[in-house]
Amino acid sequence: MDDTQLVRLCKTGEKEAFSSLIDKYYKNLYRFAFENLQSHHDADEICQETFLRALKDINTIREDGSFKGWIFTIAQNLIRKHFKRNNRQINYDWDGEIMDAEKFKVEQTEPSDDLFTKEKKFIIQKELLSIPEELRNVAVLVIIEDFSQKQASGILNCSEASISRRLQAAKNLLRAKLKGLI
Amino acid sequence: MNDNDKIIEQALKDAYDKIEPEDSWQDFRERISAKIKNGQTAIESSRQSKLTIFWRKAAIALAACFLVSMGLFIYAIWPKRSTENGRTIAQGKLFDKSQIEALETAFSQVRKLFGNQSGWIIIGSGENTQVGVVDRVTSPASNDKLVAVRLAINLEGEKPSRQYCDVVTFSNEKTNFRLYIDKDRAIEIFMTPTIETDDKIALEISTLIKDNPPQKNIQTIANNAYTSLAEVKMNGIWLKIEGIGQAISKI
Repeated sequence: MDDTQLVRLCKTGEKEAFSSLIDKYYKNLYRFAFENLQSHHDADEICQETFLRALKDINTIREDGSFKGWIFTIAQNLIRKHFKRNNRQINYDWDGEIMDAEKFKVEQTEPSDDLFTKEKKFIIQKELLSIPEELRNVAVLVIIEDFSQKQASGILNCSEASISRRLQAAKNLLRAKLKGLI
Repeated sequence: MNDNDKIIEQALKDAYDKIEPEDSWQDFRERISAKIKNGQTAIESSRQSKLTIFWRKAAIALAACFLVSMGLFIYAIWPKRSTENGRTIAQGKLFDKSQIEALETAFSQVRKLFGNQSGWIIIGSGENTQVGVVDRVTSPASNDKLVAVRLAINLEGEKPSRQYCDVVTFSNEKTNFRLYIDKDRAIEIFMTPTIETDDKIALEISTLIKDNPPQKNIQTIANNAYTSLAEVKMNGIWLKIEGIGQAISKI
């Protein structure tokens, strides 16, 4: 059953349908929250709250709307509030220049023949975390979660052009940082 | 997308997939279920509360609609009554077609009861109806012309009141009837309505009240406004009689 059908059932009060939607997205949502918050505890809290809000407002979602995009938007808003409470800010309106990859020095470990070793994945993850949050978010949504740039602009509440610039910047940075590794 | 980008993306995805809760996915899923379960109760009670507010608002809205409807209804009927009380008949005629037909039918049936003799009258006063026979013909009645006269009897004083009676008779027929103001007081009325050439009604009216000298008046009355006919004092209270009349089709 696809999301649209499940949402329709949710609107009729079918609890099992909402449970199916949770099963489908709770892992993605947790990872997304963790990428942003870097705290298991906070990611846990945000995810629970996200699903609760989704349940409460399920009737407001459009028939043709994307449930995944909608629920990520709820999570993103909660993350934003969390940062605000903790006086931590993300520049979602980032409009900086695409950074020159050569400016970044990358601490390289010895390249291994097998790129996808546990160690290298850890390094990549570490490098991903080292890039600015406003770029990382876009990279996660578009590259990992397969959202279109338009959907990502909706979730992050910024222009599509800004998403495009940020995505390019994130890729450049990652290329530079991982240059010696791949 | 070049190979390096593909490798980076794949590496990112793999790294991303490695993110897990500190305990386990199952424990995390159970925490979500617990949260939802608790939240559902809160949402239900919130919805119940919203429902209560909705019905409360709906009740208020219905009451408001009812009041507005009543207002509109009163507004709709007000001009007719107020015009009548203001001594003017809005339509320009005293009776409408259906009322005239009813009066004609009633008059005809009553008349048949008395062998179709001329000089029959019908008096309707409130819910009471009186049928009388003219005891003597003072002048030849116009047996082909009927006339309806509505009298308004206004009682002034501490408890002012207004009552009506309709009299249907032949033109130029002298009628004699008694109107009861209340249980103990009555007024004797002698009335001769005559249809004039221009269809107006000339009304000769005499009133007689116990312990008072008779009063006589002749007036031409209109069919769309009340005309003052008599004013008499009865036990210290003024009684004012007004009339309005209309020629109706021949019987």
